[in-house]
Amino acid sequence: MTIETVKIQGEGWLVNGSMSVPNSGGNSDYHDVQKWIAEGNTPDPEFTDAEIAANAQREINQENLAYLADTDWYVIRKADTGTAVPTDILDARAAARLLIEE
Amino acid sequence: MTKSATRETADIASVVGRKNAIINGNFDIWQRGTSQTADGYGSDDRWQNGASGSTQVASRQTFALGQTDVPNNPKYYSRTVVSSVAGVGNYAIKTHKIEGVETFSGTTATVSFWAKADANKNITVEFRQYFGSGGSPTGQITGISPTTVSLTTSWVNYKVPVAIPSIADKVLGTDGNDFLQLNLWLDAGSNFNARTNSLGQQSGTFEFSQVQMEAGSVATEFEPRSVGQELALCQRYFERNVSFGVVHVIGYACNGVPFAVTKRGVPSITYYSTENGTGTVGSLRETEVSGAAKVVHSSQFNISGIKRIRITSTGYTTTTMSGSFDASAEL
Repeated sequence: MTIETVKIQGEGWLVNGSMSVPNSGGNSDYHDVQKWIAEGNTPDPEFTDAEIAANAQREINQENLAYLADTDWYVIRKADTGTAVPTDILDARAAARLLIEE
Repeated sequence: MTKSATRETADIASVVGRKNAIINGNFDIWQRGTSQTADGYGSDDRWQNGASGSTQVASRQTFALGQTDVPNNPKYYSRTVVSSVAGVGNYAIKTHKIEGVETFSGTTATVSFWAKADANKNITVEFRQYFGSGGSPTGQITGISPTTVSLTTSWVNYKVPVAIPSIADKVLGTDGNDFLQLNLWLDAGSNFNARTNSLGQQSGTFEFSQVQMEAGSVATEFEPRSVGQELALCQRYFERNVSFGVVHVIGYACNGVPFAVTKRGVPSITYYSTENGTGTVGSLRETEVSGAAKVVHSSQFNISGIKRIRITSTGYTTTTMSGSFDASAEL
């Protein structure tokens, strides 16, 4: 395994942002992490609650921006043809905008 | 032991299918994928395809239906294409780690396999005993009975008896990760001369089928196991979950996910947002609300399954997170 990043994760480590490696000598990935540390590398600190919340907000923003993009055609159709945007779509777009935080 | 008891023991061994110490010797199981170029585990289960300096492509190949070159109607075989690069420390190797360094220790065992190459080429069969980590274990023993095998361009059944050293007076590590390792050397720089009978460096295509290692100095007919048996044996070391879902309440998945097979040791876990190891790596999918991939920030697990998964700390009430995972407890 080629290790690029290691982050503390509970008693173990998150390797390359995707693999949870336990603090267990019987695990072969554990030995790769130990070797990486012995080479002078230092694992990044564990996710804080604030970082997790920030990641969550980023995901919420992405989802709601995607929803707005997916339903923009209703608004364009109204501008082009005058056809009204359905109320449920208007309500959902308003709710999506409220959830997005800069 | 009476003759009838001996017969009974042999019958039971046949039913359970443990004559062959090699798991996936018939190359039926390819949970990770059907080809790999990276060093390590990546295609045929339980087989580590390694290369350093030189490069290799290991892949699954399919036998023609009804072929008779290799008996027992195997479905697949393993191919390794080696591109050798000159260097004293360069190599390409196909290895198999048998759990428990005590395996066959102090006895004669026999490795048998079907193989061929793209031209007449030698390979070397060698063994290594590894006594594990933790505590003060005995150092590894390499270069056990290196044997040169001359392949041709036709499928041939090779039989290699090997004397596995006794482990009397040796010390095991405390981590429970000791093993006996079968090495099939395909390309070896001069640093490995002592372990490979000076095999040397070579490019080529090497193909293997029906690998078996059994007690005694006589190779018997390859013992096929059912695909279900073989998969279960492989899953002690690696499991690719096809799909799962967990109820998720305010940041935590509440219900556990049992593994299909209890693992050899605590595994490493990799999550995927969609089925069968696909989608966003390190994430799960919020099934009912948005279908979006959500980062897994942490999870708790042991040898029997996943206990808890933390997706995020805020923002959600009850939903379902779904996806798949790899659990690896390879030696």
